[in-house]
Amino acid sequence: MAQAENLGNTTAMLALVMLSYMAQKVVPMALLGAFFSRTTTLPGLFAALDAFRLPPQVVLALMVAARFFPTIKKDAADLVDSLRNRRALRGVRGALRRPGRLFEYVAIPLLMRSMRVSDELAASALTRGLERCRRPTSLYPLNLGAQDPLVALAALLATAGLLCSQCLICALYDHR
Amino acid sequence: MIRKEGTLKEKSLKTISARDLVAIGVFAALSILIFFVVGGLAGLTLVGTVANIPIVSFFTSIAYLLSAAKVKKRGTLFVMGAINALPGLMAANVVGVVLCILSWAIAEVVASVGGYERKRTLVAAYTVGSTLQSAAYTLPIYPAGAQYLTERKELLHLSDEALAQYLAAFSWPVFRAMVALTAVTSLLGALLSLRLLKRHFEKAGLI
Repeated sequence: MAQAENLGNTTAMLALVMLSYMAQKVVPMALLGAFFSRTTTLPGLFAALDAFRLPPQVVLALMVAARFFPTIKKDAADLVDSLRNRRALRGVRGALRRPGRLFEYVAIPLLMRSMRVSDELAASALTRGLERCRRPTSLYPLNLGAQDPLVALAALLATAGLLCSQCLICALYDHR
Repeated sequence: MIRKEGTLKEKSLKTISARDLVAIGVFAALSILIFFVVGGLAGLTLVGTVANIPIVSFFTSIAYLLSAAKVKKRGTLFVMGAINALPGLMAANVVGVVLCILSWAIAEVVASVGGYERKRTLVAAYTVGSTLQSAAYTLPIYPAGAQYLTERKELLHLSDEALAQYLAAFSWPVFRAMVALTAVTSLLGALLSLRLLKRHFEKAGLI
C-alpha cells in the first residue's frame, strides 16, 4: 500500500483501484467456479438443475453449451495449426495488423463446423430419446441428506461472520 | 387431413424443439467464448474495461444472428441471451444478471414481431437486447463502484481530489455514453454479421 501511495493521483493509481475492485468481485466467484468444475460432473449438474425445476429449454441448452467448450477449444487449435501450416497466419503481429482477415479465417470456419456439430449432436440426442419423455430417469437422484443441514448451517455462520467482520472494519474506520 | 398436416407444420415452426435447443447451446458456447476472448483482451486496458460490453457486443452479434437464422423459432434470442448472461454471475452481480435476462425477453418480443423471418427485425432485436443488457448489467455496478471507492478512501490513501477524479469514471454520463456506444457497436456488428452470413452461409445453402 506504501507503493500505491507513491503513485499519487495518476492513471496508474486509477487502474490499480479498478483492478482491486474487479479482483474483489471476481476472485471469490473464480474460486467457487474452480471448485465447482473439479467436483461436479455435467450429468450431476443436469440432475441438480432439473431438481430445481428450472425450465428444461434453458437447462438443455446450458448443458450443451458447457459440453461444447472443449470441442471448440480442440477445433480452434486444429484450425490454427492448419492456418500456420499454410502460412495464412503469420504470428500475433500479423494477426493484429489484419483483424478482419483473422476473424474471417478463424471465426467463419469455426461457425460452419459448429453448425455441422450441432446437427450431429441433435441427431445423437434424438436417437437416445431426448424428446420422448418429459422427465427422464436420472442416474443421480438428489435428496437432502443428514449432512446437508450441517453444511447449510456452516455456510450461514460463515456469511454472518463475514458480515460482522465487515461491519467491525467500517466502525473502526468511522471511529478513526 | 391436409389442414391437420398444415397445422402440425405450423406448430413445429413455432415450438422450439430439442434439436433447436442443441443448436442454441452450441452457438451460446461460441458466444461465451467470444465474450471471454474479446472481453479479456479489451479488459487489459482501462478504456477496454469501461467499454467492455460495447466492444464485446460488436463481436458476439454473429453467433446470435446465426442461431436466429438457423433456428428461426420463438425463444431463440431469449435462451441465447439468458445463457450468455450467466457468466455475469462471476462478478457476483445477481441483480444485473436478472435484469439482463429481462432485457433479452424484450429483445425476444421485438424478434417475434417479424416472426424470425425479417432480417431487419433480427438486427433491431439484437441491438435492443444488447443495449438493454449493457444498461441492465452495469446499472448496479456504478453506485457500488462509487460506494467501494468512498469506503476505502483512507485505505487506498486517496486525496479528495483523487477520489473525485476516480468517481468521475463511475459517473452517470459515462454510464449513458457506454449504453449509447453499445447501441452503435451492436448495430454495426449486426449489420456486418448479416453481410458475412450472406457471403458465407447463405451462398453455401447452410441457412
